[in-house]
Amino acid sequence: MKNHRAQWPRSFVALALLTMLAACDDTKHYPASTDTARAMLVGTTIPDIAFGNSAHSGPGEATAEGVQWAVEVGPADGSAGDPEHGIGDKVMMLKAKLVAAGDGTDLTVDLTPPPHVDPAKFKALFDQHPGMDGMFRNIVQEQADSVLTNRPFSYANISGSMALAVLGELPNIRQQLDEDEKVYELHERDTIDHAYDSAK
Amino acid sequence: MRTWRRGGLVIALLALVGCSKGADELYYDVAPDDAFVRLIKADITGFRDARQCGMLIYFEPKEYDATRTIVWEVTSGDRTVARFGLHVVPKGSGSVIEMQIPKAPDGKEIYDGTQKYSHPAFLQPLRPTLRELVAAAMEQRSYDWHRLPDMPVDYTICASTRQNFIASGQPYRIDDPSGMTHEQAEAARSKYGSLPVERDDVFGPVGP
Repeated sequence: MKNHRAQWPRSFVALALLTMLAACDDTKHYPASTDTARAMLVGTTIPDIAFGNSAHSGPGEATAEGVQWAVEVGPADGSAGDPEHGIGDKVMMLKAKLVAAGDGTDLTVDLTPPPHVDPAKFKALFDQHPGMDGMFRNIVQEQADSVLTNRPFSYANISGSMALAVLGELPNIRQQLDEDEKVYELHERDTIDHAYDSAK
Repeated sequence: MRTWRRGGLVIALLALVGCSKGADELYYDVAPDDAFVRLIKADITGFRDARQCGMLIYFEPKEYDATRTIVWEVTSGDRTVARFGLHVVPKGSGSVIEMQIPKAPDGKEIYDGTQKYSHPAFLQPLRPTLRELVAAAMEQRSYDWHRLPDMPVDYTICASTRQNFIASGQPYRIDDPSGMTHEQAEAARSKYGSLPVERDDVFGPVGP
């Protein structure tokens, strides 16, 4: 166990490097004009495979800067989800910013909180889950690229950043497991003690 | 040639280290009288909570001052389901704690990891978990199952009854059929009358 823990810092360094590398290639150029690119992206939705059952994207909406997709809690059909978190609540805006460049468009991506979410809390959330930022940026990028190059959304193009996000979550998962274990042990002791007290 | 000699020397040293570690595994630099007092205060409740199965079990200690030995009789209902002792053997200025675990009918130790019980008292194997009981007592701390060595997972009925007990809060009883909760046993009795209840031969015959 001690050996495994000693490896965390090294994993963090590797993760940080990979995240930095992934972030280097943020701007992509497309031959379409900004208006054409916007028109192509508006109304599209990011496939559910990118979010699993926990969330889905709303349709792309036109903005002054480009196009944005709202990420909403729960699956698109509202059939399941965690009742503690409102199904359909907007939790994040995924943005494709379009800037005219030469005879085409430069596209960059951004993540922003929806209007009702405190930006500081939003930032804190991503600080706490370091791999998530890269993963969501990658998802927007793949959505935009697949639409603008007339090809299907490819899970293979986002699986790498998803894997990184999962790796980045390992310390949190570890901590959560430790906390859960403590709670379970307490419950175990309470149950046993209560049984012995009742038997007296 | 020299490499072979060095290799031989290393093997010999390793063998010696292995032997002395085995012999002094439970050696503590604690005077025998003090060691005995610490054993008497051992966290037997922590041990019980960490290792018991689904039945409630009770530990009755018997202290033998003259030999610095403490023996716990473990009962459930009116039956003895296990027994083990710890004996302080003076060594130098310290003490070696000797574990006394009775023989099972097959000549092996009770709860050695191979025994089958219909109404088990502990997760098996017992011996490594007693080492932690001793270590905790000598270090004057609570029993800590996280310090147990890696052991094969116990997939016997003990583990499942323990899980059910923790989940429901309802302990199993030695006078009910193996694996049946008391509620299930009572329901079956009201339907079918008395039920056959398995009995475990925990202990082997006492030698001459």
